[in-house]
Amino acid sequence: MPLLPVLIIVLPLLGAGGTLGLSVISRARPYTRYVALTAVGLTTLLNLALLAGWVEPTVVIPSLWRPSLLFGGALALRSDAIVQPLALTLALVVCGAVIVDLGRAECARPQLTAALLALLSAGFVTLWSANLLTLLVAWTLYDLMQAVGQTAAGSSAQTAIRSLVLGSLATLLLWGGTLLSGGVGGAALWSLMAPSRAQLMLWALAGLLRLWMYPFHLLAADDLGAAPPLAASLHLGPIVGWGLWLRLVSLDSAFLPDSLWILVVAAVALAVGGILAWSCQDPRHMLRWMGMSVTGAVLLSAGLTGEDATAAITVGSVSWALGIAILCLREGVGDRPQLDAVLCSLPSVVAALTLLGIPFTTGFVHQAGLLAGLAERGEMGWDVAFFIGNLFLVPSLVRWLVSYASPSPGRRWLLVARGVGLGLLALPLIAAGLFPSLLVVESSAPSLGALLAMPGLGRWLLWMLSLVGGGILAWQQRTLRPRIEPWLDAVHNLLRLEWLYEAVLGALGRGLNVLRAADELVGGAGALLWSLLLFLLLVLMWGAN
Amino acid sequence: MPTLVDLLARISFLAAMPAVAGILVTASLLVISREWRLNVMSLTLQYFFVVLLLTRLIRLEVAAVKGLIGWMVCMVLYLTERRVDMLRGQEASANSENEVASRRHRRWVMSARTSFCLLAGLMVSVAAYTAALRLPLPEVPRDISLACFLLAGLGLLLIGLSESPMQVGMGLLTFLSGFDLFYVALEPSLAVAGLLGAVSFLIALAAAYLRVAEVAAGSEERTL
Amino acid sequence: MAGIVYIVLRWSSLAALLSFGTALALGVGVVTLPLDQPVQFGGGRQIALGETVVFFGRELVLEQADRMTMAFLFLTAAGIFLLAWRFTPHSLLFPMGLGMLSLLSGALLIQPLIYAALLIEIAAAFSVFALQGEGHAPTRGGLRYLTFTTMALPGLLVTHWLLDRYALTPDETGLLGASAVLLTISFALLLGAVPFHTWVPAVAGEGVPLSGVFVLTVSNGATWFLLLEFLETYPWLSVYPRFEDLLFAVGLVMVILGGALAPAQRRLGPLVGYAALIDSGATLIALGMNSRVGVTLTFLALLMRPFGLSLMAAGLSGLRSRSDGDDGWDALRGLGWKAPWSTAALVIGGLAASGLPISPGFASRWALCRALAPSSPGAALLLLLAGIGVMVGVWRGLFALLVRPRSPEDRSVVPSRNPGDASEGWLTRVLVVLAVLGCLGIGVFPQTLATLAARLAESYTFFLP
Repeated sequence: MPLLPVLIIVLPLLGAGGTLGLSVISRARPYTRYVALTAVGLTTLLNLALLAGWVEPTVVIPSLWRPSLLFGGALALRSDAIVQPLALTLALVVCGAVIVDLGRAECARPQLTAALLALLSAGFVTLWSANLLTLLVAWTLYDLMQAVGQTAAGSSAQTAIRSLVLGSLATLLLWGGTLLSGGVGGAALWSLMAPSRAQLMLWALAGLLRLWMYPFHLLAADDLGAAPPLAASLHLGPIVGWGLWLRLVSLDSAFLPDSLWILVVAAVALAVGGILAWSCQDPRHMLRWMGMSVTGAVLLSAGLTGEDATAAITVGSVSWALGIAILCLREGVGDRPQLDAVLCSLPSVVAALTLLGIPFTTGFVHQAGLLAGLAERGEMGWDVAFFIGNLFLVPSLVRWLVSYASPSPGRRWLLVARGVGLGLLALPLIAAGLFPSLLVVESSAPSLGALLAMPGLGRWLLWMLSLVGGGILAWQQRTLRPRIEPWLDAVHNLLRLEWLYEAVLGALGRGLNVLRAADELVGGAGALLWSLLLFLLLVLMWGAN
Repeated sequence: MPTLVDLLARISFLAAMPAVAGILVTASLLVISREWRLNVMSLTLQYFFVVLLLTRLIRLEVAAVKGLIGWMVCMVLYLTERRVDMLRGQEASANSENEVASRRHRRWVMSARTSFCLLAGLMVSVAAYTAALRLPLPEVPRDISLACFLLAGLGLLLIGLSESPMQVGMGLLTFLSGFDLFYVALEPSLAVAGLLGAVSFLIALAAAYLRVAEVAAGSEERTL
Repeated sequence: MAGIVYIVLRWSSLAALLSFGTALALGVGVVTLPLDQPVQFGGGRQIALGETVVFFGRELVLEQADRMTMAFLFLTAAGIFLLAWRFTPHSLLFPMGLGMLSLLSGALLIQPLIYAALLIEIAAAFSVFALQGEGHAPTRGGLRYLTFTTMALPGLLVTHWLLDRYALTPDETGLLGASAVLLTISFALLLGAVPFHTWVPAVAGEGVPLSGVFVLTVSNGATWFLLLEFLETYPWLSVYPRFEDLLFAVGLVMVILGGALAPAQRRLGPLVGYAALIDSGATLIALGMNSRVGVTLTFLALLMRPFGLSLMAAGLSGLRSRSDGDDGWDALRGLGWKAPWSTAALVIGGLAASGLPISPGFASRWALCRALAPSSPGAALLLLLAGIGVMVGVWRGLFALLVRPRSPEDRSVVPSRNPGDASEGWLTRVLVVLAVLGCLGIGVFPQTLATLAARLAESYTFFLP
């Protein structure tokens, strides 16, 4: 059924339209959530059907760009099995967030809901892009929807514009890489591509930008801490980057292990992400750093794993996405845990354990691969980065869980709704943790037993040490943090690199000021004379040549 | 009563280097001066000298029509500037005696701008003379070639030195006159002559429109 | 019709709709009506579109190849009139635009080509009135455009004489060289090639935005078609030594200059101009390929250009009307919340003008980069960077537009709408939505115009085989 992917893309758009349309009528405003839920629920079910393989992936061509002599091909979509877990994850996150939002009984936010549904559609188009041409279009669409969503969620203009600019830069890198092949191959299907190393490098750079990796972390919004939990999918921008990485490793499995610089970036992100998360003063802003640390771990695991990079990225990205999404929903234990709060916080605890890569969770798949890879490499640098990252990730997660506890709802069905929404996100983390082949359809998917055996004793010990150390930090952080707050702030501000970016922007601005001054001079009052003078100079130069 | 032909026959001695000299003086005045009365007068005289030179290349009647168009253009500019002057005069402050005194003082002192314009005009004139010697225009005598280069060069200089609509308009008209003087020798078609005349008229109209807009915007700012 | 529209200008909607209807009817008619068969009009009069019309002794001939170019001019003008109806209802764009349309279409039809230059000059004079906003200080855009067009006139007219003379004395090959030089300079002036580019940002930034875009798309488009007609009529021009190198070099310099200056702007108006400059440069590069693909890309760029620039100009007009005509960053602060539809038009238009996905501009830029990459990858990369330059300018503007006032709790809030702030009206919103959808639709389905561009290119044979 070739139109199934089209239907999956269109459904959220219809939901967005219905939500906005209903919101115009004040009486119908509370029911906009149900329209959104219906649309996203159907979308999730259809995605599940695709993942289960009930429908064969086919190429859908929404627009045939003719003449082919000019464009080289067409816009094409293909719901490949390789990216289907990510697509399902996106749908699950939005679905779960809508259900949890229902269970919170807060007032409806139709504009934000509509923006998120449109973002979901854009995410599907991005993941299912069958060639680079479609991916370029899809990325821009996604960036625009992301900016709209951030604005609707209350983010500042600076954040929205920054993510747009850096997203455009990533798109430019992708496009530039396409040109390196002499313009050929931009519209060829992924499976038919044979890219050069230079192209893969540029695309990898674009992928790192999309993953919000250090030092390109500015793409991540830093002021969504106060955004409603419904906006969980706004934190999942790197999912489109993961989609690209899956394509890259499937094109050339040796590319990632051979690219030391990418592994270094991943290791730095893992370590620095953990430090930034723990040194962050406001718990509301910790999430992006924790996410960055885990992203680094997943990418490092994929790089060190080698042949099984696809499996590592697939499962790692799904565990990252679901884990971050659950944490966004802020169902923590709270400061004074009570029984019902603890029960409600179980999904968040599962999410935290997944992000740490604890066994029996999905996160363990990439963590085991990472530990095995560390053992194989045997280089201290990777071990140090891994240790530091985990050491600070543990107390950060604990701090997050303790900072948030949603109030008990007055009605039972609201509690049930919240439970369903959270369960929808948490259950796959455990299910796929126990049976990784649920996500990875290839035969190379390791079993749980094989995963437990993969890391050597040394690396098990290293990991345990980091977890224990992190646990001690978590236990003592209430007494320790106030004493070293100034140092933490200094380290945080230093590592955030805002000062560097401001300096670069300032230098660029000054350079542009010079250009503008020259432009105002040449284009100002004496423009004609300047034009004639420049023309004369050009003629003289041309004549001299 | 003497006919047009007779009148022109009497002053035909001017239709050579004296006309070129007249063009040089009038165009230079346009470049240097910012006094509108002087400028309009200079433009009018300039058209007169251009018509004189045209009579050597085309039929008298056609040259006369071109002259008429030019003088109508000058009339448009004159009326516009006069109206602007009246509007400005109405808004003049009561303390006008000091202004008159300072204006009188300013008349006898050559400003830096005027000096620069004079110098630039001289340079362009020399360049035009050199161009007329080295690159004589086809189908026209050498003195007319010089007149064409002078008009074009000084016209461009006038456009380049100012952003005032009137100055730019006069510069464009000067440039167009220079080109017209050359082109009639190549293409004596009446249709082309008519269209070039229409272009001149539209340029004058545009300059006048913008000048009025300038004054209107200025008076709005003052009332605000 | 221009006269009638001028008379009814005080009823802005009537004037706008008359202009729109006239341009639309002409655009549709020129494409659909048969050339060789007479068509009956009101009053029993029969007119065959293809018959030669004598106008003051000169022939006006509509050929098959001219239909699409004429339709492009008319339909682009119709679109701009429709946008101007809501965004600049009281401007002289309507009557002057119609007048310019008739002159420009005459310029494309008239034989010999010499008169085309004069008609374009007269159209440039008309544009001064359209570009001048009511109640504003005189803008330099109109006069500057008129100046450069006037300077281009001698070259075109003298070339005609030189070529006539060459026909009589073919052994004087120096005449061809002189013609080539004069034509190059004249078209450089008309198209805004560096260093004669200063009129482009002035027209876009200092006048009524939609009038500026009218000049940059309709007038400029007519100039491009005239250039192609010159090349087709005098094929020796395209085989002239260094023809390709010259076009390529000039186009590249325009792209680099536009791309460097666009992000440096502190006002939105000149940004539109630099986006147009980059587009013109890209079109020159395409023409410099001197092949059928190059000519097709030239037409594609010309057909795609109006979408982005018109939307940008419409957005700019809407924002300027709420900031007392000032489009600097300081004046635009927070205005995006009061005029969201104008902001949306500006952003989508900027996307299209910069050649980034998902816009009509992307389709033409993608095709051009693809064609350039094998021979000149550096030029393709510079094209990409130039597009980013325009987008950076748009993002800077958007940043100023979306600034929110801060509440005491240090949380940004959406400013409450004061009763005094005029909303954009439902008609404006509908128009913006339609325009944006149209723009995005062409961006996703560029084959609608790409096949047209390929057909237009088939009628030109001057390039190297």
